[in-house]
Amino acid sequence: MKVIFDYLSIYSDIIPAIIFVFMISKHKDKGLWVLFFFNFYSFLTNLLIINGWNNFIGLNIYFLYRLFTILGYSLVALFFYKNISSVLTKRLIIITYILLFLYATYDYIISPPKSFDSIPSSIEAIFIIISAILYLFEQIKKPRVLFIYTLDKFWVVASLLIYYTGTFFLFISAEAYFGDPDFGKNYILINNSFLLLKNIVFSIGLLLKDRSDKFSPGTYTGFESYLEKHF
Amino acid sequence: MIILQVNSPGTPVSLVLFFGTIGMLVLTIGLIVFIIFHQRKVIRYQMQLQHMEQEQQKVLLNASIRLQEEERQRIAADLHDDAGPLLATARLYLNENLVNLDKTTQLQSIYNAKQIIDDTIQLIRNISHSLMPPTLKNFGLESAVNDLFQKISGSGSMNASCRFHDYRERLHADQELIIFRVIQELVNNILKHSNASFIHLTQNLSGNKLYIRLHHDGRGITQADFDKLNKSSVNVGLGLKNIQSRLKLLHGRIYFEKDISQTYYKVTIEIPRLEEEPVAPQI
Repeated sequence: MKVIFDYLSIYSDIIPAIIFVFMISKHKDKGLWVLFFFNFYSFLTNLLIINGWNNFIGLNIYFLYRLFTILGYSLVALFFYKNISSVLTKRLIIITYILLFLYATYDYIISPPKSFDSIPSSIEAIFIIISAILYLFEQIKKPRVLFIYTLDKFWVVASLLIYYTGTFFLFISAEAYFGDPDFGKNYILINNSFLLLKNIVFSIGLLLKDRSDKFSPGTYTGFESYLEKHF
Repeated sequence: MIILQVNSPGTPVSLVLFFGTIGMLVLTIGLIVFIIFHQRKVIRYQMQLQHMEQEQQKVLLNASIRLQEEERQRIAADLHDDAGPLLATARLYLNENLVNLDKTTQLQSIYNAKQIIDDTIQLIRNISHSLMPPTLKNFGLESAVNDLFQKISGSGSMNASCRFHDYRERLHADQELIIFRVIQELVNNILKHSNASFIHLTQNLSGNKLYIRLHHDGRGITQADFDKLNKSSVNVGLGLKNIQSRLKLLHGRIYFEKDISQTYYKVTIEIPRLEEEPVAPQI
């Protein structure tokens, strides 16, 4: 049962990618491409680890995790960079990306070869949570005609938020307890549960119809414009 | 539930992990729910505001259209009831010339027809002047308002006076016409409803804004009454709605208040002096 659950959660990564490919016409030019690659990359990494295929290509799982921290954050940061309109927040994303990249590289150099990158992963989670909150805050400030939950990106960001808040404590404690078999069980269970949840929420977002959410003052003709036109 | 089954109860790290993860998840779900509800509230409020504004504009538009119709009916009635019979009578006199060949009678009927045609010309001139006062076009707002107030004073029904303190530069013709119409409407309301014994108008310039103040000692309205009449969808306060819609064109404002002494009612019109070309209304 547990094995089925593990496989189900890992293979669930491919569901949003498949939906995205099938509904590509509805989601073009919206920055979701990056998250498509993120999901696909996450799927490949998990596939390598769960089947032990990483040994064939001579990479240990810790290195794959470290690589995922940097590349995964690159894609998520790029998604937020493309979708956030505030210049200040965009700059913040660039700065956080550089900081994380430098710190993750430094951590890789100074840490033992077979250790989990707890601190870079936790920092990555914090940066993603902050970016998601800033994105959502920006969205509720915008004048809209549609409810926010009818927009695909809201669900996509919510999925990232759920996954990274859910696994935040897991990443923090992973470095110290990764060798502990009890922790190992917990790690896999919690991570896979949130992975599944993330992919379900992500898929809901991708299944939503493309709707224009722009508040258009043009549809609302004022009295002045009427008078200017007719008098 | 599944997490609880896997966690061994004695392990502190599992507890920290469990409560930490649950706490974070609750916070996230709370945040998402808050965003959804907050945004729903904001959208509903925006829609309500937009609906109210649309209703207000509909009321103003209806008032404007109704007033236009009333003005047309008044002109039609003036032409039909006054000019029509006069011209018909003149025609009768001229017709008599064809029947009656007596020279003296002919001269008398031509004279009568001429008198009637003169009256008709005067009548049409009055109608035309009421539509567009020539003084306003030729000499500006100050002269037109002076003219209007002299006529009111001359009728003996009320003491009317006006004073323009700072009107060296004339406003654009369209602006002057709109302001004049607003003053006309206000004066008309005072004459009809206030039972006042005097009206006094003053004009001032402060910064980039032109102020016109009307005082009278009759029955008047306050800002609250004005807002109430303006919002009502029934056909009361049509003139006031018309004032509001005219002032909107000039981005102007109007304030109704009672004097501190509680003796006079005061109406203040505030109009920004526009640098750019204003709209060209054909009111």
